[in-house]
Amino acid sequence: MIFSRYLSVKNLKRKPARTAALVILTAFLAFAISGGSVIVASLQNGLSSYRSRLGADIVVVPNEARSKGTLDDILLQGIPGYFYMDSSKLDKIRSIEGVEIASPQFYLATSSAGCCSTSVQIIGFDPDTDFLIQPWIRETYSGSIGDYDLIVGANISIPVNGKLTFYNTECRVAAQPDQTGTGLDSAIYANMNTIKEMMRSADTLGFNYFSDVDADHAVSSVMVKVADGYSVDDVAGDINIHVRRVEATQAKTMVSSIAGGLLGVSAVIGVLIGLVWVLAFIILLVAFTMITNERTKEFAILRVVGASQKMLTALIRTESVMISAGGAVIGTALSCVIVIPFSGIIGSRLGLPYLLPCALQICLIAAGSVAASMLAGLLTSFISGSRIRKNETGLVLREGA
Amino acid sequence: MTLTAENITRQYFRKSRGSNVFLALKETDLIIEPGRLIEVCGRSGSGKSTLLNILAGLLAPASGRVMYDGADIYAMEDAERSKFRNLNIGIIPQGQTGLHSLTVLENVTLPYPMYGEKAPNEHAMELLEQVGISELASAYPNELSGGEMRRLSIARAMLRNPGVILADEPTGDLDDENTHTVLRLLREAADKGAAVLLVTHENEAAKYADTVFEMESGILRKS
Repeated sequence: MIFSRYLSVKNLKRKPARTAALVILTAFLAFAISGGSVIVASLQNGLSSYRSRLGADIVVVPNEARSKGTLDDILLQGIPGYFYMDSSKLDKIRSIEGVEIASPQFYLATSSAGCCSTSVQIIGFDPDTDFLIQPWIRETYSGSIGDYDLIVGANISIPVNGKLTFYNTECRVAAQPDQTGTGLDSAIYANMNTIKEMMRSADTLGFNYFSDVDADHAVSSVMVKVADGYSVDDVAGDINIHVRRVEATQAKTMVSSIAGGLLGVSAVIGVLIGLVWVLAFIILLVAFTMITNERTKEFAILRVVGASQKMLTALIRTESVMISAGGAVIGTALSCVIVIPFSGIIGSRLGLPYLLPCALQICLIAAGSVAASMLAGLLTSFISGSRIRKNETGLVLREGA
Repeated sequence: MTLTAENITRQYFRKSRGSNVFLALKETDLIIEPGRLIEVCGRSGSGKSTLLNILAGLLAPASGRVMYDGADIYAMEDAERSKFRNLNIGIIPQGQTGLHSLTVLENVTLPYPMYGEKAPNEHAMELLEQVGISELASAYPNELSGGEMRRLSIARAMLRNPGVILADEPTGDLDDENTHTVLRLLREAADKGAAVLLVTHENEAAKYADTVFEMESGILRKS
């Protein structure tokens, strides 16, 4: 083993171009495996996070939500949008049998004009009935969310003075929750009084968001929790029948449509990883076999000097391990350097919930990628090594190979 | 160490000529005792190298036995036979036999690290001095001429002072002066107790040999 290491190092150093080519090939394989796996894991994490953030049984929005930026756009991608219905709809929803909690939310797209610090989505909630946003915020912020307090999504930069102004309403940044991998990371949260103040101010400033709805009585969506013993499907149907010009959608339908898209993307990435592995394995096998054939005379010389077949096999295996380990570590490290810092861009391009896995999970993926890449190298070395065993040294020397 | 070959034969299968079986070595007996230098001459393709490779444990005979002090080398497992070859047999094969990733000195001392032993660099340098390439100790084989490469191979084969030396055309690429140097070294090795087999076309070699054999069409005859 010591000898095979000694000679392998010498061989790899003396053939830098050949070594570099094989290392690059293995690095490419490791990059594809680890990068692809991190993306798939991030998508799965994102979906899980989105599911827990959505949390409601039924989501009710005005019919025109489709034309003014859908809830999906706001929640998934953080694209600012707004739509409103009269708060009387909230009362009607609450009166439907089977509705345990109905909590309003208010969406306000801020302007890039001078009245606003930055262009983002503001989501307001009613602290008395909210069962979605406050539990999430409490994971990182234990204080109360008072008037003119803002909770800022993980993707938003906070000014040094901790103040943000929207529609001339100056607010204080109270907390910044952990990343969710959804559009919620690009939004700002305020209680009902604060967002109502902003909405009134926006109306006064001439922003024509509210059409025929009175800004004081405008509600964007209603998150509904269905009481035990009632069918979510039936309650959603009742809302659609009894409350006019709204659309009640089961939250699981929203999640399952995203899950379907995610499954498709994950499957494509999975197939690509498999194809890259097979392709790299074939290329490595061809390369190692060619190199082994080229080195028939070298192996014969080693036999002459006293090397056993086992030593020759160990030599090939050691070289292969050194090459594939080097390539695997470089490829995996590169994928971490590229895929992790650019996760925001990847997530927004995919248009799906995207949340990086925790450090432990990333380490496991990296270890798995190194192992899979090294396995390809080891398998090829076993196959090419078995060819040497068939060669009779005396014949190689006689043929002058 | 006494090298004995009993009734050894070897045949080759010639793919390019259908299923024609070619008998390269007909039933051959040979004994090389310690202190003896045996020369085998003959035309190309007469079976000289086949005989040498069989004696070296590198080419299994179709029949017969090869024994070193009574031990059948082909009855040994590959690992045991390989280590035996490393310790007891100095082989100078035909052609260029330097490993390209090692320097001349590392090539010469190669038998030692193979089994975890420390390379005897001083002894190796002495041998390189004797064959006239000591100044090339740190060069790589691709920087050497054919003759220099042959001398590297000779120095490597003699490094362990082996009990048996098997030399296949060791003077093939050498000038007259170096030919005599190499033949003298082989003679000295025999005089120190080694059993030496020299396969050569070189006419001068007979002067250094105790016995000369001629190989013709796979048959070994005393000249």
